[in-house]
Order: sequence, then C-alpha cells, then structure tokens
Amino acid sequence: MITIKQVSHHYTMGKKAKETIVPVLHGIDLHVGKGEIVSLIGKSGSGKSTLLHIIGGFIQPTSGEVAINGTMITGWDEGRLADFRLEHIGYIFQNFQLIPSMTAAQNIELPLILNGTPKQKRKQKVEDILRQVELEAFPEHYPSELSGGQQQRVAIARALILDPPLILADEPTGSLDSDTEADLLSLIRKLNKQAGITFLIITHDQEVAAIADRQLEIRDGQMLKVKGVMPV
Amino acid sequence: MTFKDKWRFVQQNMKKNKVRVFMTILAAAMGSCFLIVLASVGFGLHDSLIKDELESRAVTKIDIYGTSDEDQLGFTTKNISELKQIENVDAVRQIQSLDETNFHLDGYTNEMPSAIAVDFENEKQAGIELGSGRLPEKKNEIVVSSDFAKFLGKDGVEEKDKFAEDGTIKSEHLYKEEVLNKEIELEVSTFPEDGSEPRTATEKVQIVGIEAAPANEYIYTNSVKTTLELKRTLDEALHVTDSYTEQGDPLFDQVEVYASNAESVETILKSLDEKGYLAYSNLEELKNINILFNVAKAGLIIVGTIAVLIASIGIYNTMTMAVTERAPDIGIMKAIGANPKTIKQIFLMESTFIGLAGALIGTAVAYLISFLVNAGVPMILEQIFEEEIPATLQLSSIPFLLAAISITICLVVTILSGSRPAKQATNVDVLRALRREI
Ligand SMILES: Nc1ncnc2c1ncn2[C@@H]1O[C@H](COP(=O)(O)OP(=O)(O)O)[C@@H](O)[C@H]1O
Ligand SMILES: [Mg+2]
Repeated sequence: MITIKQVSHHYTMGKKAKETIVPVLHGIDLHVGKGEIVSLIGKSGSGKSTLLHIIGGFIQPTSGEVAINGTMITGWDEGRLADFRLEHIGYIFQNFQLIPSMTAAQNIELPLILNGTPKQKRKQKVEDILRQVELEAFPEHYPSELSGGQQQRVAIARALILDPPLILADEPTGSLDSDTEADLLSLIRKLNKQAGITFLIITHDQEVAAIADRQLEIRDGQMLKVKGVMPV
Repeated sequence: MTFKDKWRFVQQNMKKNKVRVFMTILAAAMGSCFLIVLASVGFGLHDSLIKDELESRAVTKIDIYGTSDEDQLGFTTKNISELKQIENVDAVRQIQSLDETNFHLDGYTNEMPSAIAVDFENEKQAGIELGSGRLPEKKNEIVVSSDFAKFLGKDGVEEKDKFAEDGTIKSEHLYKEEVLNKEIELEVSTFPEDGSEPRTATEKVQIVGIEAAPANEYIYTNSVKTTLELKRTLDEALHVTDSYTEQGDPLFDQVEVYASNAESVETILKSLDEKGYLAYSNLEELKNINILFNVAKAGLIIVGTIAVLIASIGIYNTMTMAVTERAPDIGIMKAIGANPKTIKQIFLMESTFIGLAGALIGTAVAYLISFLVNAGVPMILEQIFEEEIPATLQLSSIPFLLAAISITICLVVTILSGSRPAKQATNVDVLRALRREI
C-alpha cells in the first residue's frame, strides 16, 4: 500500500542569505502492506508528522520516492496530488481540522461534493457513515457544538466517506479521554477487519500501539522496527 | 465538483459577508451606470443629429449641377435617360423651377412658396413621402409641403400686423380649414429681361396631396410641386421659352440622381465624372461627421471605463479579504483533496457574479436615468429658454450595443481584478493554513 524508498527531508529556514538547514529524515525505507495497521512512534520533533505529510503528498521529500497503491507520487504537481489524495487517502489531522462554519453533516459531505457525487447519493452516504461513527443524532451540529471525541469522529467519517484504501492519522487520540479513545480504537479495528482499510497511525499512546500489527519508531531521522513482523 | 455545488459555495460565502458584497456590487453598479449614462449622451446626440440623415435618401442623393456642354443651359431629356442608364441608379429627379408664384384660396394667399415642376413617376421612385392624399395624376393637380397651410395668410392685412415675432403668420390671420382637395388659384408672374412689362398667368389647380413633415420639426418648408404639363401650359401663356430647347424639348434646371445604396454612390460619382457631369454628394461630409461622432462616443466610453476601474479596486479588495478570511477553510479543503483549479473557479465565480450583478443593475438604472433625462431636460430647457425643443432631439440614447459594451467592460474588469485574489487562494499553503499561520 505504501512504499517509501530512501526518503530524506530537510527544512530550509530563514532568508536567502542566512539560510539554515534543519535536517529531519535520513534515507527512510518503509513498506506498509495492504490491510495492515502500522503505528509510528518517536520523540517530539523526530519527524513523524513530516513523514506523514510526505506520504500524504503535502510536502515533497528532498530526495527519495514515495509510492501509494502502486502509484509513484513523488514530483507530482499540486493539482494532481489533490485529485489523488481525494480518491486514495483519508487523512485524520491532529486537531480534527473541521470547517467551523459547516455542520457535521456538511463537513462529512465535503469530499463527496469535491468528487462530484450526485446530491441524492451524497445524502444517503452521509447518513450511513454518521450511523457508523455513531453520530446520527448530531448531523446539524457545528464543530463548536460537539465534544472533542465527537469532532474526531466527524473527522474520521470525513476521511472514510470516499472509501479510501489508506488512512493516515496524526496522533488521533492525542486530545481524547480514555473512554472515547477506546471507542475510536475499536472503530479502527472494525474498519480494518471489515473493509480491509490500511492504517498508518502516529501515536505515543501504548493502547494505540497495541492494536497495530507492527510498531515502528523514528529516531535520529532513521526508521527502527520495534515490534511485529515485516510482511513480505 | 459540479457547477451547482460551486455556486452553492459562492452563495454561502457571500451570505457570510452580505454587507461587503452588497457594497461591492453597488460600486460596480455605479461604475457601469456612469459609463452608460455618459456614453449615452454621445449616442443620443449622434442619433438625433446625424443618423436620420445617414439612413435617409440624403446620402444616396447626388446633385448634378452641370453637363459637359457648357453652352447648354439645363439638362435635356437625353441627359436624363443617360443618367438613368448608369448602374445602381435607382431614380433620377428632373426639376423645372417656376417663376414667382402666388396661391390664392378664398381670400387667403400663400406668397411665393418655392414652386417646382416635376415628373411624379420619378418622384415616386426617388421616395417622396406623403402625409395625406395622393400624387397628382392630371395636369392641374399639385402636392404641397406639410407647412403650406401655415403660410396661407388673410389678404388685406397689414404686413406689420400679419406676422408674429418669429416670422410666422399670426394664427388669427391663418386659413383655418383643411387644404387637402381644395381647388386653389395658381398665379405665376414673369419679369422679362428686356425690360418689357411683367406678365401674369393663372390656372386653377387642385391640392391632391400633402407631403409628410420633414424629420427636423424645426424646419419650415413652404413648397409646391406641379406637373411638367402644367408648367408648359403656364410658360406658353407667358410666352416664356427658357425651359425648352429650340426643338421644343424640355430643359431641366436641376437634376438629382439617387443611388440604390450608399455603397454605390462612389462608383456612380466616378461614372458621372467620366461622362462629363459635374456632381456633388454629401455622403463624404456625412461620413466624416459620423466618424467624428464615433470617436467622441469611444472617448466617452473610455472615460466611463475609468469609473468601472475604480469600482474594480473595490472588487479586488473584497476578494482579497475573502481569500484571507477563508484561508483556513481553503487549507482544509485542499488537504482533503480539493483541486487548486476548483478553488480558483469558486473565487472567480464570486467576483464574476459581483461584476455581473453590478453591470446588470447599473445598466437597468442607466436606462431609467436615460429615460428621465430625455423626459426632463427638454422640459427644463423649455422653462428656461421659453423655446420649444424639437421632440426628435434625444439627449441620451442607450442602444443595445452600448449596454453590451458596458456589460462586457464591467465583466472583463471584474474578472481581471478578481483573478489575482483567486490565484492567491490557490496558493494557500495547506500545512501553514492548518497550523492557522495564515
Ligand atoms: N515547516 C517547517 N519549517 C521548518 N522546520 C520544521 C517545519 N515543520 C517541522 N519542522 C521541524 O522539523 C522537525 C520535525 O518536526 P515534525 O515532523 O513535526 O516532528 P514530530 O511530528 O515528530 O513531532 C522539528 O524539529 C520541527 O521543528
Ligand atoms: Mg507531529
């Protein structure tokens, strides 16, 4: 599902004359198979989010290649990446990233609107997914009227609505209490088992790491295997 | 993303900033309204001063004022048939002038109208327009100009009492009845050059037709057209031979050639020149005046466009603010997978809508203002100068072309001014937007 070859990345900071280079990733190799749940841990600032952004196509790696679902996306322009992301990747951000002026249902509907799904079908799909994330009682609520856990579920519903084969999640449980966290984890496991969705989850949470088939760690810009077996 | 969904986004965005969008539309409307009203004056004056003339027979008319034969004192029937044979000539008017004439009717007299004898078949081809009655069919039938009756004054009234200040006959001394179909006495006099006594001849004639009023209402015409046969009878009675050749064929004082259309005037002029005729057409002159008016109209449109450009600054501001405000939302949409093109289209649609709404409202208001100006200004001028303004004078006119030009200018300007903010929207950096850094 995800194949990363020799990906290195550094950020360039400051004005032209006094540029400073912040090296983050060094020659990362990674393969995530279809239907796997992989968790990624590492110290704060170790480059976990950077790697996820590279996989999601938000930033271009300084060097190396990324392929998703067999498609090499490195070097693509923004428009092409956006189209690809819409169809193939569900991205769950650290702080939900819901549009505050839209209701839960409208936020979830957004990807369907973007890919041109007809209105009637959109309504049906949104209703289905709301039931799946147990938010059928709150379709007309605005993000500010929802709890953290509910907002997170709206974000997940939005990531799932187009049935992407891959979900990238950046610390999805970071701001949740342990009960809602447990709910979320069972949802992830259910989706993985029933729909065969692949998950790559950044976390420092042991509970989350526990549901993963494999656990990886980034340290000093290198990828370490912590637990589990590499699928062939 | 479908057009309908994009439009829904635009509507939602505008709803959030109703006042700002309204003010921007207002500015665009004022700009386009100003443009149209300003230019409409050029169009109006052009229309009422020149256009009638250009579309009338005046442009296709060619005056012939001489032949190759310098000894010949007029135009012979041979000349006429030669002129008729020139390609693209629709009609040839042949005119013999009558000497001093007076028309008497029941104690009223029209003194010295300009009287001419014509071939009415040719007049018909040349496009004579009657207001009432018909064209003469018999020798003693005539047609008169629309103002003929206004010059029919009571006999025996002192000159100084007869006329009002503006030179017209006072209404109390005017003939009151309808002149059409009245029998009237034509009196023609000749003053021989050899110094012998003036001679006079009279004929009873019937007014069978009245010409249509000329387009320019402020011009009075006092004229009479008789048949060529009547002219010959009168000449014989007066023993006048000027208007005939030695063989007795008629000689015409004035000849006008009518081209079938304005485009063929030039080639006709050329062949007239080859045949030795001296000819004049006012087409060139009218064309030049026409060009002048068109340049003036273009100038007014350019000045008006400045107003639209000023309004476009408002649109630029509004759209830039909209993009800045919505940067976080744009970031989220892009993160999900919204194509930058889609984002750009949404913002372009919004600015286009503002421009279009402004242009349409401005155009509607401009039509209203134009109507009020046309109705009101003549009234005010009449109050001030106590003089009647001719109804054909139109101060402001908005042809479809002007409205279309204005709407196009307004749309082009707004799309241009909205394109930079739209580009900014596509350039919103997703990760920075998600971190709320912009
Ligand atoms: N846009 C950026 N510009 C410059 N440096 C950055 C940027 N984003 C992240 N960094 C730096 O890169 C390193 C890795 O950051 P990140 O990938 O967010 O780490 P993590 O998610 O593991 O906490 C950090 O040192 C951070 O300061
Ligand atoms: Mg991070």
